Amino acid sequence: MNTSLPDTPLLEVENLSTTFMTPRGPLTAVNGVNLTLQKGQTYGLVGESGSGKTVFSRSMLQLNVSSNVQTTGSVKFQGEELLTKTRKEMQSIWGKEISMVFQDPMTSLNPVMKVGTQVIEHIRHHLGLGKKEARELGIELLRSVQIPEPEARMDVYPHECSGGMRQRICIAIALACGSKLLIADEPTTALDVTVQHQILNLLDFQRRDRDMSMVLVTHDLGVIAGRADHVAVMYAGRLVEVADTKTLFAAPKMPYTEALLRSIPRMDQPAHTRLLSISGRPPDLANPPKGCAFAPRCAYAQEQCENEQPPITTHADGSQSACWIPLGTPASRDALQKNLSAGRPQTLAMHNVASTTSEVK
Amino acid sequence: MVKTLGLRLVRLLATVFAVSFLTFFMTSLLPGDPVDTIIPPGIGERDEVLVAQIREELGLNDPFLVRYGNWIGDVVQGDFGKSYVTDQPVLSEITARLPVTAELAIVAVLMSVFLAIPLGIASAYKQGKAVDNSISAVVQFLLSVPPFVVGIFLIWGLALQAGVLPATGWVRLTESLTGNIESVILPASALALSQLAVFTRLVRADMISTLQENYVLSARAKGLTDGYVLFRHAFRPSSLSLITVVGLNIGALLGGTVVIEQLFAVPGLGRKLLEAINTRDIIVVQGIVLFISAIYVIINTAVDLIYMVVDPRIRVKSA
Ligand SMILES: Nc1ncnc2c1ncn2[C@@H]1O[C@H](COP(=O)(O)OP(=O)(O)O)[C@@H](O)[C@H]1O
Ligand SMILES: [Mg+2]
Repeated sequence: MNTSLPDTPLLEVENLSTTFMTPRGPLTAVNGVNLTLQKGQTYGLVGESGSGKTVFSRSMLQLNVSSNVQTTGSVKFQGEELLTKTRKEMQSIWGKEISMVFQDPMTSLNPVMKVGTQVIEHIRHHLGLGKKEARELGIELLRSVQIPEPEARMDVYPHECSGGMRQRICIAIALACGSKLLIADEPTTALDVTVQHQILNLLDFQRRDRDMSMVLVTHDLGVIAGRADHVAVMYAGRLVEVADTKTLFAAPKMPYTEALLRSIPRMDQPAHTRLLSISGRPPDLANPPKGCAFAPRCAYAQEQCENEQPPITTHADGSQSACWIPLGTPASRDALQKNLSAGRPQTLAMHNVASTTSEVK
Repeated sequence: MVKTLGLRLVRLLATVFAVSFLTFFMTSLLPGDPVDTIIPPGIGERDEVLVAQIREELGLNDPFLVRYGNWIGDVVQGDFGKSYVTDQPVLSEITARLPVTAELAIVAVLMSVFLAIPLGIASAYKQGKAVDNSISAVVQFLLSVPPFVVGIFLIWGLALQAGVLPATGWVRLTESLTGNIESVILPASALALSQLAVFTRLVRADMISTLQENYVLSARAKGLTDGYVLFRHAFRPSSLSLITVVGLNIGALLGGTVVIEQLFAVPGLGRKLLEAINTRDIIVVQGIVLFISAIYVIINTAVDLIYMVVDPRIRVKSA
C-alpha cells in the first residue's frame, strides 16, 4: 500500500483543532488531528466517551451547533477544502456528498413528521425529483435497509417504530442521495446488543454495495474488528494511535489502546465476566495536563510521560503512536516492573484484573 | 378517541355550569336593587305596590337557589331572560353585539400570532445577535405597556396626527368592507400588541430549545436550507405552548375588549357589559358573562384537540 501512490484521497484531515470558548476558558476538544481516508475504505475512530469523537466528526463538516466554537486546520474532501466553504456551499455537500448517521435514533428523527417525509425531503431538495418519484425512491430505500412493508412504513410516525427500525430509517436517509462518505457517530451505542450487529452488518453491506467510504465512530473497539481497514484511537482530543486494524489488534503500541482492547466484551466469556474498565477519568480539557494526557491513568507512565507531550512516531510495522514508551519494547517491560515494585496503584489495578481474567479463561 | 371526546364534552359542560353558578352568585352580591333599574327611585313617588308586584314577577323574593334554578332552567332552553332596561331578550342583545367582539378578537389573535411566529423564529435563529436583541427590546417595551395606553397612543398617532384611520366608531362588515377593515385595525392592534409580545417570547424560548434537539441537527446534516429546517422541522414541535397560551389568552383578550371597545367606541359585547353593569341590568350581565365563559371553555377544549393534530405522540397516549 505504501508502494503505490494512490490518487487524491477521499478525505484528508490536517492538523484539525476545535476549541470551545467556555466560561471556564478555552476548551480544546480536538487537538491537531491528522487523518487520511482513501476511497472505498472504512476508518474506525475509537475512544472513551468524552474523548472528542463527536466534536471531531462534526468539525470536519462545520456542523458544530454552538456559536462559541472555533475550528482550525484543513479538511479536504476530494481535494476540496471544506472549512472555508460557506454555509450555503456546505448545504450542497451535507446529505448529498457526505451523510451522517447519529448515535441516538430515538431522538434523531423528527417526532412530528411522518417517516416518509423525512426519508424523501432531501431527495427532492438535492435531486430535484417530483413527489411521486421521490416516494418511489424512498420506498426502495426502506426496502434496501430491510424494513418490512416499506410502503406502510412511509406513513407512520417515528414513535411507532422500534429503535433498530429507526436507525435503519436514518441509514436509509443517509444513503438516499448517493453520498460518497458516510460518517456514523456511534450508530449502535443506543441499541440492544442483538440489534447492534444487524445494524453494523447493514452499514457494512450498504457501504460496499454503494461503493462508499465510512468513518465509523465508536467507544467499543469490538465494533471495529473486521469492519474497518484502519483505526485511529482518540484520547483527550488527540489521536494517540493510528494503525491498520490487524496491526492494532495484534500489537497495540499505546497503553491506552491496550486498555481499550481489554475492555471489549467477548462472546467466549460468560456474560457476567468483569470487564476491565480503565481506572480513573479522562483529563479536564479546559485544564489539560502538561505531559501525556493518559499518563495519570497509565500503568507504564514514567516521569517523562508526566512532563512532556509525546510526539507521534511511526513504527516499523507502519503504525503510529504518541507514546514515550511504546508497548512491546524492553523499555515498556522495565517501566511496568518498576511501577509494580513501586506499588503504583494504576499498575496494580491493571495487573490484578489481568490475572483474574486469565483465571476465568 | 370517541371516549376521550365524550369525556372532554362532559368536562366542558360541568365547567360551564360551575361558571354559571359563580356568575349568578357574584352578581347577586352586587349592591343595588334591580327594581331600581326598572322604576328609578327619586323621580316622584314610587308605587310600592307596583314595586312589590315586579319583585314577585321577577322572582326576586325567592331564595337564592330557587332563583338560580329558575334562571339556569330557562337558559338551558335558550331563554336568557329579558333586559330590565330595554325589555329586549338578552340573547338577541348578545347576538347583536357578538359579531363585533368576535371580529375584534379574531383579528387581534391572528395579528399577534402571525407576527409573533416569524419574529420569535428569527429571534431564536439569531440568538444573541443584533436582530434578536432588537426584537427582545421591543418585546420588553410592549410587555410593560398596558393595551389601553397603546390604544391611546395609536389613536393619537395614526388617527389624530396622520389621519389615516378613524379614531373611534365602527362600520359593520355588511355596510362597507373597507370601512370595516379601517375601523378594526386600531382597536385590534391595541389588543394585539401586548399579546404579540407574550407570544414572541414564547416562540423564541421554545424554538431555542427545539434548535438544540438532535433531529434539528439531523435535518441540517441532510443539507436542507435553514428556512426549511426552521419552519418545517423546528417550528411545529415548538408550537405547543404557543397554542396553549393563545387559548388561555383568549380570556384575557375578551376581558381586554371591554376596555378597548370603550376606548374606541366599538359597539361590542364588552361595551354592552359595561353599560349593563352601570345600569344594574343584572340579567344582561349574567347572560354576557355566562356566554363569554362558555366561549372561553369551548376554545380551551378546542386547544386540547388541536394538540393531538400537532403532536402525533399525544394522539397515541390519549387514544
Ligand atoms: N458545545 C460545547 N461546549 C463546550 N464543550 C463542549 C461542547 N461540545 C463538546 N464539548 C466538550 O468536548 C469534549 C468532547 O466531547 P465529545 O466530542 O462529545 O466526546 P465523544 O463523542 O468522544 O464522547 C467533552 O469534554 C465535551 O465536554
Ligand atoms: Mg460522541
